[in-house]
Formats: sequence, structure tokens, C-alpha cells
Amino acid sequence: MIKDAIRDVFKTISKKTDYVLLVTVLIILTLGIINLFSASRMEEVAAVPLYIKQVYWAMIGLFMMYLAISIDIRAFERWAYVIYCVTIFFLIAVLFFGERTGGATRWFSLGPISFQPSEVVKVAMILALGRYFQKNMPADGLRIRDLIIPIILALLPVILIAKEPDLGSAGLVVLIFGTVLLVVKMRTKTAVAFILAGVFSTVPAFIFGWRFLKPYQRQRIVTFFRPDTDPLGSGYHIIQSKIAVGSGQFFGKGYMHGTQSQLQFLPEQHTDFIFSVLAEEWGFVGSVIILILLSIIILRGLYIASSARDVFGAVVAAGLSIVIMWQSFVNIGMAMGIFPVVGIPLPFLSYGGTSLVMMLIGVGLILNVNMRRNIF
Amino acid sequence: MATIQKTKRQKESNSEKWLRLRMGIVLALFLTLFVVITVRVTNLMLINGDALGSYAERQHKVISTFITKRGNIYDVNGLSFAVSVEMDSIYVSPKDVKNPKRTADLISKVLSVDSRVILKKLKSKKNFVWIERRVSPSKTMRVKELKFEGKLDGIGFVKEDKRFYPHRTLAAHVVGFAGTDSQGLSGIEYKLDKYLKSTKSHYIAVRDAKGRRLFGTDISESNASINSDVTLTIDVWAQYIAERELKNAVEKSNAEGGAVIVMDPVSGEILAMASFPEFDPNNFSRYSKTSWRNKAISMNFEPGSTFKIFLASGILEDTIATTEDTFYCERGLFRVNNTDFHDYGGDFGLLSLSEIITYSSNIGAIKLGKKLGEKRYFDYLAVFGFGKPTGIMLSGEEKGIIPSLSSLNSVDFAALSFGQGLSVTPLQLITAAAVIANGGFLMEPHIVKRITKNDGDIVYEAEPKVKRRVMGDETAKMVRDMMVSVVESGTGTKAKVPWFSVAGKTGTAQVFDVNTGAYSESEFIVSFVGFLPAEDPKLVILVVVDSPKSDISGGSVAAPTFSRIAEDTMKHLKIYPEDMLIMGDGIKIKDGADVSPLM
Repeated sequence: MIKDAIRDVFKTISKKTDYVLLVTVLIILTLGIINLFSASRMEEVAAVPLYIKQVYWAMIGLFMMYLAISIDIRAFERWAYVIYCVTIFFLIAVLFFGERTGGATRWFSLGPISFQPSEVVKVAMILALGRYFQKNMPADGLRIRDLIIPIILALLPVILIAKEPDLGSAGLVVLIFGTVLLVVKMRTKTAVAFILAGVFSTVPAFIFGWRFLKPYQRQRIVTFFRPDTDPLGSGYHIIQSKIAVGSGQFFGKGYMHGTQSQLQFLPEQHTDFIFSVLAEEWGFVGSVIILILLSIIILRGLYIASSARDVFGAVVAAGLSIVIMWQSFVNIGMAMGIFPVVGIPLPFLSYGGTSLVMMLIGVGLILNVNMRRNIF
Repeated sequence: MATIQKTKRQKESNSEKWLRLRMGIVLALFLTLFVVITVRVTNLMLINGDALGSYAERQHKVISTFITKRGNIYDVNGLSFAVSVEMDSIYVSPKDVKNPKRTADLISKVLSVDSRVILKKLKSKKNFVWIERRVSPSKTMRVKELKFEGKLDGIGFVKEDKRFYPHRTLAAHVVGFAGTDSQGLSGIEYKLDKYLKSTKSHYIAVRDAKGRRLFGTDISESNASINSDVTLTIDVWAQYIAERELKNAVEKSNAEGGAVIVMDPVSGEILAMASFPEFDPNNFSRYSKTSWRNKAISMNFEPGSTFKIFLASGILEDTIATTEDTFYCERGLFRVNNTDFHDYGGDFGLLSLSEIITYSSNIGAIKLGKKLGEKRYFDYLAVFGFGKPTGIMLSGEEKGIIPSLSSLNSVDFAALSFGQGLSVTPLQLITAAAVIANGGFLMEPHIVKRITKNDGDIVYEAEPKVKRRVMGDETAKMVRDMMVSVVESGTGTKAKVPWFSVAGKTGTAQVFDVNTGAYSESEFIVSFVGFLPAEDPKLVILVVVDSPKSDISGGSVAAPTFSRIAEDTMKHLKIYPEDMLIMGDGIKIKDGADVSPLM
């Protein structure tokens, strides 16, 4: 029975699997857990250490990835809207029943497991967009009115996530959506309108949005530009992270010997600033290796997207690669002080169950697109 | 059909081309982001890495300084003469005080300080104000209790070291005292300050973000963290006996002061060194500066007749005369160059050398001096160690005054023969007398037994050291016998000690008055130096009393003091005469004799 299952797994995987992507993901996943051990070992002792929890999540994630590979990609296309609607339902539910931490309700707490719908919605939105573009792609590209539904598909989660409030994640969804639109075919007029809208909406969005920001959120943006104005308050995170990263220098301080992380000068070191831990302990060399590994994953995903069999496959593979790309950039940028601190996890490296599982499902979907590109 | 398929394929390839182009846009975006991140990584880690690295170090590295306690000073049996005690100093951080009035009242009651003074401190604008430093433990306890009851907000405690001399006046002149910042100011505290003083050592500690210190590395220079304890050769009990008797003698005779030294002639170790007037080093500033002076090493005085034993030693060592050779003592009056010299014990006729010493005839001494000759006499003074400091580990040692040979006229030399016209210190005198007790060997006097680092290493340990041989064993024995007869039948009969044969010599010296330029008629320095048991000396004791008023001879002031000190010290040291041991009774070994007299 188990033997059969295992054989099944291998059969599924071996079928035209993109090993480059799969192996890279497994490597980075392993490195992530090793790094997380170092990042969390000095923290207050919990019943189950964080890195052990992350191992559990990774196993769940790998299993889900396996499912995502083995289920026919057309099933995902067929069920895309349903998945999207269920996720939206969770996003609404979390506003009412979610766990309140630090002034925001972003979690569901189911016993020991916590679940973050905003992580799921990124994948769900991409599936829904894929489905929409698959069905409604005029031969000569999208017209402006063809964008109305996709915009609604994106705006709904953005509003709901912003309501939690989690402006970082909301903004990220906007970024992802915008980038996905770059991939799909548009008429020239649409593209021009889209770009103009993008450019011109930025300034009013800032001015208008500023009023809606909570004081701590405004503070974060201010301190991003001038971290030295408040080195002990909200600028602390940025300064400490820069110190940790920079002090790693070329070869790093050695595994579990990062002073800033081990002595807890680095805040949020197992989630937002996990890269800083890695950079401090493994130095420039380690940081570049991680950047290269992430790049391989992103580029491989985009390559699979470009050779996809249909629009759905292309949008899903490209969209999920874009999710990984933006999250990586925003998170690492955050750790190095070139992006405001917005609480976006680093794919495969940050502690966080939902994020890890969704990232692995995403990789599974990309692999699935790759495997089924030449079925017909 | 074929054309449709073709167009479809064309369309597909067309759309694929579009897709590729759009992928190119995403790729460009990716590349931009990748370059931005890479540039930033390079900038932070390679270009600014050093700066940020040192910034990180400043954050987690703290240099801690540890101050070790000042070393202790012990007596020979390990009882403490000087210790450093941690005491609480009370401070206030004024901004935390909620009710200054009540707080001030409570504290003022405990510390018995005016509450207005405290109130002023509580209302200070500073962050930190001392209320009182080094508060006694009982007062601290009461303040802590109040604090525990929650009545004293903003009051805090800091441990500070305070030098404490548990034996108070005992051996104060030897031990000396140290100032508030652990700097030795006098005595051993000053002389051995470099060993005793509290040392600072620096450690690099690592602290975490919450300020907890985790571990440290010693970065101070080697051994800087180690200070030492000093063990003296002084025995608390012997010291107590010496001081008690000295005080008695001084007070009974209305004297100005005095000194006593008790020494082991064989090793040169000093068991007791007393000086009067006394002072309490715990409150040294309340005593006059003159009382701080250790007279046993710093008092230059004309020794008088005690000096005759050194003259006799010279005569006998050079075999100029035997103990039985007689000298005419001029019936009490002898004129040298128009200056009259007198004898005080009687108008003697013919006296043997031995009798000259026994009865302390000055005229006899003048004749002996003449016989020995100035040159040889001065040679002997030098080998006995006069005119030079002994080099004892104490501060403020004087070296005595010996006039130069060339400046002497016959009157001066006549006076020198019986110990006038030159000065010595008590320590020089007893060291020289110990030569006679020790078979002719001059021992270096010691007061420091050992210096021990607080990690157990011994820095210094006193070994008995023969400086030189002054005379032969036979000579020493002859002088000793003469000194025995001084106590048996001469001027020093009051120095007798039950059960022991005592050898000694009295001295009553005139004091040269600098104001009148002549010897005073009323001021004398009386002394007695002796040792016992005469046949196998265990102790040499010198008693010097400065300017007694009611009684002015060494035989009646210093000799009884010597006797009492000798008797009690021998008992304390459990040295029993053989006769007594044979009899078997009368010995009561005091239990607990090893504890300090004040404990």
C-alpha cells in the first residue's frame, strides 16, 4: 500500500518534472530550516521549537505540492473561481473571527495551527486571473473593458486585506496584479491606458491613502526614509537589520555565531528579518548564494510560463513566479533598508506555516504546468 | 481545412511571440530588482561592512571593570588587622521619589541626619544623588526594611568597600591606614600599597539586546587583577601585651610617649611593635598627626647606658680586656678636658669590666672607650648597624645620627662611650641587642612574614637572614653574662621575670635640648633592653619611655615594664622554664589563647 503510494509519487514526479526547479526549491527549503534553527534558538523557549514547527509545515507543504503536481492542471482551471470564492470567504471571515495580534486580525487560530488567508489569496487570485484570461482572451489582445473583471478580482482581496489591516500584503497584491498584467497580451491602447493609470494613480493614492494610515503605519514610512530620526523606536528595525547584514561582511560570522541575531538585537528575526540572520552568519557569499537560488526559481518559473500550453498555464506559472519574485525583493529590500518594513515573509526562508505551504503549492502548480505543456 | 489550420498555427505562433515579448518585460523587471538587491548587498556587506561591523561590536560588546578588594593585613596567626568590608552607600534618584517630605523624615530618623538636608537632596535636579556613603550595616538594614515596606521610592543602595581595622588601636602604627580610595597613607598600608591596593581589571563582556551580560574575556594586563594579602610577623597577643604595658608605663610616669619592640632574636621577626601615643586607624583623621608616628622606627634618641653593652662587646671581641680586668672609676667624678662626668649608681672605685656594666658606671665606660679607641668603637657601631636604616618593610624609618669621627673631641668621645651624643632608633637598638642574644649574628629584622596573592601564589616570604657576624659566640656569651648580672644585682633588678634568667641593660639618657643648646636637666629618655631566657634567648624586648616625669631612671620605669611584657609574652607563647616543667604544676595552659585579645 505504502509502496504503491511511493511508487505513485515517483511516477508522478518523474514524468517530465523540471528537476532544476524542484531541486532548487528543496535546497532552499533545507537551508531555510537550518537558518531558522539559528535564528530562533535564542528566543524564548516554546513547547515546540520554531524550527521543528517549520519542519512540520514543510512536510505538509511538500505533500500539498505533490497533490498540486498530481492533480490535472485542468481541474485547477475548472475550480479556479470556486477556490477564489472560498478564499475570499475566509478573508471576510478573518475580519470577524480572526485572532487579534498587534492591532490587526490576520490569522485564524485552529488549535496549535494558525492560518493566514491573505497568503492563500495570492495563489487563488492568480488561478482566477488565469481562468479569466484563458476564457476571455481576444485574438488581438485585451481591450480596456476586458480588464474590468480582473481588476475586480484583484481589488476584492486588496480591500479585504487592507481592512485587516495589512497594508503591506495589500500593496503586494497590487504589485503582483500589475505585473501579471504585463504578461498577458493587451492591445496597444490598453497597455498605454494601463501604464498611464498606473503612473497617475500613484500620487493620489499616496495622498489619499496617507489619511487612512494609522499613526504607526505613517511612522514606518517616515522612518523608512529617515531611520536615524528614531533609532530606538520604529527606525530600530531598519538600523539593526542593516547592522546585522553589513557586519556579516564577506564570509559572515559563522553559523550560529551571528552576534546581532544571537543576542537578539535583530527584531523579528525568524520572520521579517530572516535574511539578515542569514546574511550576518553566512556573509556576502551566503547572501549571494540565496539570491541565486531564488533567481533560479523565479527564472525557471518564467521559463515554464513562456513555454506553457495555454494562457491559463502561462498566467499561473508566470503569476506564481512573480509572487515569489516580489516577495523576495520586498523582504530582502526591507532587510537592507531599501524598502519600508511591511511584514512580507521571504519565500521558503521565513518562519510561517501558511506562507510556506502556499509557496510549495505554488511551486507544485508551476511544475504541473510544465509537465502538461505537451499533452496534446 | 488546411488553411484554417495554418491560420490557427500562425495565430498561435503570433500569440507566443507576444507572450515572449511580455516575458521579456517581466525579465527586465526581474533583472532590475536583482541588480538593485545585489548592489545593495555589495554596498552594505563589502563596502560598509567594516563600519557596520564595528557598529555591531559597539552594540554587543561592553567593557566591564571589576575592582578587587584591597588586600587584607593579618597577624602571624591569620587574625585580621585590616580588612575591606563591603558597605552600602545609599543614593536617591530624585525623579522617582513620590513623597519627598515623608521619605526625608523616614530617612533622617534612621540616619540621624537633619531631614531638611535630606529633603534638599531628594528634590535635586540631578538623576543621582548620594544620601550617605558607607552606612553602617544596622542603619542600612533599617533603611532596607523601610524600602521593603514600599515607603521609600527612588532610594537605592550601592556596595562600596570600606577599610576596617577590627583591632582598632592595636598595631595601628605598624599597619597604618588607607584613604577612602584605597590608597595606603601610612605604615604597611603605605609601604606595601602596590601589593595591597585594589586593582581594576577589564573584561569584554557580551550583552544581549536586553542588556543582560552573557560572558566575558579578560583583557587586562597579566596579573593586574590579582592583589595580595600581607601577613605580618606581629602576634596580636604579644602586641596587645606590649601596648598595654607601654601605656601603663607612660601613664604612670607621666611620660610623653614611648615605644616597645618584641623580637625573636633567632629569626629577627618582630612579634610586637608598640608606639605611644596611640590612635585608631578607623578614624585616623580625628587624631593628631604626631600620634600617627611609629616611634619604634622613627624616634631618634640618645640611647645612654644601654649602649655600654656594645662598647663592652667591642672590648671583649678585640680581647683588649677580660671581664675580670679592673678599671678605676675615680670615685664618681672624672674630668675630661674641663668637663665633669659623673656616675649615678654610686661613687665607685675599682670596678671590673663586668661590674662597670652591672652598675652602669659612666666613668668606667669612658675608660673602656679610651682603651678600645675611637676608630675601633666606630667600627663596632657600624657593624652593629647603627647609623643606617635596618631596611625593615615599614615607612618612615629613621637611621639615627652618628657624628663623624673627624669632628669629635675627647669630651664628645667620652660621652659617646656611654651612649650620649649619638642617636639611634629603637629598632636599631633592639636589632643590635639581638646580636648578643643570638651568639653574635646580626639578623635582619622582619615585620612582614609573607605576601600572598589572592590566588594563593606567594609573592614574598621572609626568611631569617644573617646580615653579618658581629662577634664570636664566646664574646656574646660573656656580654650576656654581664647583662644577666645587671638584672641579678645591678641597675636592672626590676626586670626580673619569675622562673627565667633575664639578661638586660638599663639606659637613662639625657635629652639634648635644641632650644638651650645643652642637655636638659629634667628630660630623660629611659630604656631597658633585654632578653630571656638568658641561656637560650627566645625574646628580645626593648622598652623606651620618652620623658617620664615622676620617675626618671631606666631601672625603675622601663625595667618593670620589660618584666611584665616578658612574663606575659612568654606565657602566651607557651614557653615554660625547664624548672617549672619539672615541677609539673603551676602550668595552666590557657585555652583559646590564640584568639585575639579583642575578640
